[in-house]
Amino acid sequence: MFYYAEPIALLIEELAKLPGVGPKTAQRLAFFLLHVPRNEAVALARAIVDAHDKIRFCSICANLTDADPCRVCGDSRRDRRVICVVAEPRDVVAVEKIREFHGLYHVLHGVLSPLEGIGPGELRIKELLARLGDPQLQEVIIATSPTVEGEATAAHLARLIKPLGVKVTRIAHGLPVGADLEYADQVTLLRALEGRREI
Amino acid sequence: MEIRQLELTHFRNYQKLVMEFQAGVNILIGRNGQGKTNLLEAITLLSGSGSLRDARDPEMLQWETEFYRIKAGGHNKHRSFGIEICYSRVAPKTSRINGIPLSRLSELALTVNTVVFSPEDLALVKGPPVQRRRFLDREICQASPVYAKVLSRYHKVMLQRNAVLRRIKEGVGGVKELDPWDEQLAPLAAAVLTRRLTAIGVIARHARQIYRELSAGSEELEVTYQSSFLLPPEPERWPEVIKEQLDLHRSAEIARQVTLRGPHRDDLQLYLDGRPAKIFASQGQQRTVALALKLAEIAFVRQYREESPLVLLDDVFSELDPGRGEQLLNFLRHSSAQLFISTTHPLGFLAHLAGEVGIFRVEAGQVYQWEG
Repeated sequence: MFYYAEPIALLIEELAKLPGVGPKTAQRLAFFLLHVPRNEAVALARAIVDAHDKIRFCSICANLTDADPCRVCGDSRRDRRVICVVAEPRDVVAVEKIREFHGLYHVLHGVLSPLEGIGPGELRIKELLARLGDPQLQEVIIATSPTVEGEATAAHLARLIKPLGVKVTRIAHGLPVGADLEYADQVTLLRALEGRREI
Repeated sequence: MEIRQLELTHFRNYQKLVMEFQAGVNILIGRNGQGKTNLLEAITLLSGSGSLRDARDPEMLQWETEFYRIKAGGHNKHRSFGIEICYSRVAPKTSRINGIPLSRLSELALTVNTVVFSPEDLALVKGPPVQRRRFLDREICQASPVYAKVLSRYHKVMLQRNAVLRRIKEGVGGVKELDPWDEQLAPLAAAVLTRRLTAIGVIARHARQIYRELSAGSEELEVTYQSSFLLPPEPERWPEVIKEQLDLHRSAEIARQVTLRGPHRDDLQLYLDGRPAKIFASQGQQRTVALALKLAEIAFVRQYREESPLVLLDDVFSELDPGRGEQLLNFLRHSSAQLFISTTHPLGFLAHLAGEVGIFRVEAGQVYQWEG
């Protein structure tokens, strides 16, 4: 029985640890990497190490950053009256892309999920509460996903923040803009009906 | 509604099957293990309600094949339809109606409904509560495609809540951690209960009447929903009342580390002349109760669809004495539903059926016209 030479086996094992990568994909990626020129392989390795060394959490919003405070928290043009709370760093990017939100962010790094051992203590909630003392702050927008975990996280935050006299809002859920009503799936449509408003 | 053509590819023991059904009664005759139930199973999948054996998709693949496909043509009250369901090991499962992809399989229930009779129906009376909850939930899913989503969301919240109960007991989390989950659980439980109680109202009424006819009025069947919550008459108040009752029983639930109250613990009560059918009814009476519930299921579908569902009888007549079998068949014929009957041997009373009757012989994954 022939096995892979140890350096290849090791590479496959490491790649297989990545999310969404199974043993077969890991093999494919490993062989791909073996076939690229050495300088490309080094560039990838260096990018991984660099990201690890240089990226840390912003001491204000807990987003991943290479400068502390991060570029958003350090930007004097941002509107300090509003904080948008999101689950993951990628959600910040999603909101930034619309270029219409000019407030600050707070990244929780997850949502409540007791089944996975994630309680309030595992999220960056303490850091958020510490920011609420800012006299300029008027509103906290909770922009977690409408999953049961995202909703529970929103409810938990609302219970903590409201008594402090800060306005708490939840992003709306419903029909995608520009979509045809008839093609909306029924659950989305039901949500949109439940969340209707007077015009 | 009717299905007239069916085409199976790599489904169970069918390599390739193309067949035509009759609008009235279709009888599938064959020895065990030849593929009668597989055919019925394929038909149940057309209604988006999952396999009649609770099988998973990989189990329904023909041995050593990569995909299965079910195609069916037919019509309901509103239009003719072609349904295509395709499952593959490598791609997401897809379903189409008249070529248009559906976003959820459960949307098939808007076009086709099925009601299945099987010898296991007796478990509706004798089995554990989960059987009766499943019966009821399956009904409601056919009437309301959103219900499955509400139910699954309820279960997700409950499982997370149970994890919180464990955290509290272990001293990892505080009691306050329950709040955000209870806040979601209460309205979801209320949403499940509203739909269940509405459905059971309809089913109970039909079941009582049908039982009366089947038993020639000898006993009275009563079906009630037993909720683990005490509910006031106004459904608008249920979320708030459920929340109060969750709060009230927190300490017991923390001790047991499970959610003790809620739709996942509820049951249907079946009474004959005021006495629990599970305990006091004879075997024959229990069978009639189960039949009455299934027939009420057809009536339930008829009520909101204004047409009969497809009715599948999987080896049911072997369990019934001929008199009762004939009575059941007459009942079903009266509902004008298209029938699919599987049986191991030709049944005497089936020979006298009038109208559009198709008799098929099923053998080793092939279906032939019956020739006596």
